[in-house]
Amino acid sequence: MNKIVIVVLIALLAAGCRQAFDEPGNLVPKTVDEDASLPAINVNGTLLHAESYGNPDSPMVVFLHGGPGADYRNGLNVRELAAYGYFVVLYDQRGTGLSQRHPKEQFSIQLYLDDLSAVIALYRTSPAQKVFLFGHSWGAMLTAAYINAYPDRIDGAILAEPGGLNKTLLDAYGTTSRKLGLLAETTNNVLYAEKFLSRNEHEILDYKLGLQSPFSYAENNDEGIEGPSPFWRNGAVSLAAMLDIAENEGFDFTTQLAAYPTKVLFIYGENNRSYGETFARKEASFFPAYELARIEDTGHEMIYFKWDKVLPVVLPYLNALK
Amino acid sequence: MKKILLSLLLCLALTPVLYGQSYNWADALPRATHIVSAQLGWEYAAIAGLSYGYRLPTCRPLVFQAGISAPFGQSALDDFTLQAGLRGVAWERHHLKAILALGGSYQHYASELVRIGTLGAELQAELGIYRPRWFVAGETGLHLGLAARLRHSEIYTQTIYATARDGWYGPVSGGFVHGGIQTGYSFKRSDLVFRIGYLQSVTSGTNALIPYYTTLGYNWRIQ
Repeated sequence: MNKIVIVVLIALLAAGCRQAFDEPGNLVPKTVDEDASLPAINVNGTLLHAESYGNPDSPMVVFLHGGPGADYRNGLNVRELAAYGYFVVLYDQRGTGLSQRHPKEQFSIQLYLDDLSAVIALYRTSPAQKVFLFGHSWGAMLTAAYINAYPDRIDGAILAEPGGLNKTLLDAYGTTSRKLGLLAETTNNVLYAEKFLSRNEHEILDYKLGLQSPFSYAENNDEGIEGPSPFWRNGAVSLAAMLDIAENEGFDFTTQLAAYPTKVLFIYGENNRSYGETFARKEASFFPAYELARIEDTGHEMIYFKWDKVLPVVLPYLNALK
Repeated sequence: MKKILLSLLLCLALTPVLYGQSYNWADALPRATHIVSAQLGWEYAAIAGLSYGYRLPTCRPLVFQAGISAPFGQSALDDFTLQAGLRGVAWERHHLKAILALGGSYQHYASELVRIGTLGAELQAELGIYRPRWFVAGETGLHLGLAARLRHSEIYTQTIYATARDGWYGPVSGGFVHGGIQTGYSFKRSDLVFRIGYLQSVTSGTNALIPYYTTLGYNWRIQ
């Protein structure tokens, strides 16, 4: 009995010496507006965490990470394209990763497209410089959205398992890839966490979203994800904003794709049971010219886990258009 | 030492039991009654719980409650909530009674990324009609996370944030109000109690993913 009292007393005393949940840097890393040592670019009214590799005059490859609300840390392998004569640009999209945070009301699909235009404009050294987009998951959806809006601005694109190029396809993919087992440990790890950290600050929301990440790579997951892949910091508000937009307004990134004459490369992981060749072909068929490539022995996170198999597919595609 | 323990329990009770088990107060629960309860339901996740109550030797019906609830999952008891507090009749007129419940809680959450322990305070009020065979009442309450202790795993520090700070955090780790109804059927020494309601975060603009709760409970009274 005495031990219980001591433990309770220690807990109460310790509770008096506590840190602040919302202090930047405590639970999640600081963002570029809080840490001046991080590489950043100031575009379209926001500070984005960004890096570039290679000769700035070489053909540019802009990597668009997944999410929404993820970051480019698990796509860093793409940097290797710099060694093959490409100028590689990676950035955390608005409101996620280590980029500056913004209120939910500010987000729109057009804003993401404008950010991408601004990033390209900032890094482009001449009008003749070719620009390629390399998008993964949500980033591949954004790639299609950009081509759909501005088909004459992009010289080629690689789309790694876009989650759905319109709302119907997104719902179809979501239904097969995000099954909840009501009594499963992974489910309660997502839902039960709600009980512990229900606060409004970006730091807490991003932290809580990060704690839910093991759900994506749970044992025998449908997307064939092998395990944890690194990320800096999720953007919970940007994710919530885009989910609301998708749900309330819908979207269709395919309306003008038929006008894009350049061949695009679609890659998909062999182990992603929710995607597969059928879904990949259905998405790719919105483009007049496409190439499908299956990446063996991996799933949705192929760029992180099987870059050695992705590179030999991506490189010939880019070189042919270079 | 008993005084210290009693003081601590009272402190926890007076800092504002949210999800302690409900009883049929119609027969005013004879003194020294022990009540063993079991619950199944949904509160943030699918949960199961056990609790114990003891009718204190007070004029007005007052029960000391302690219990544990835990969500389902392959890892037993990595996540759980411990509660202790007092629940009793605050006001009554004929069959109409107002019940107040006050208490404290310790919640534990563990995943491969982090372990979180939270000290919380809980308050619940119920107003309803209590008859010997049945009861129906409305309920509302508040839960506040006062402070939390976080300990991050190697996976968290290796794949997400290397310099995440472990330790105690505050001042409030979360807060929810809830509102709903409860109803019960009593027979012999038993009550069957059904509760259903809605949760709303008061410390965040984003609510719980599934902001509803429902439980089916069974009470067994031992005299």
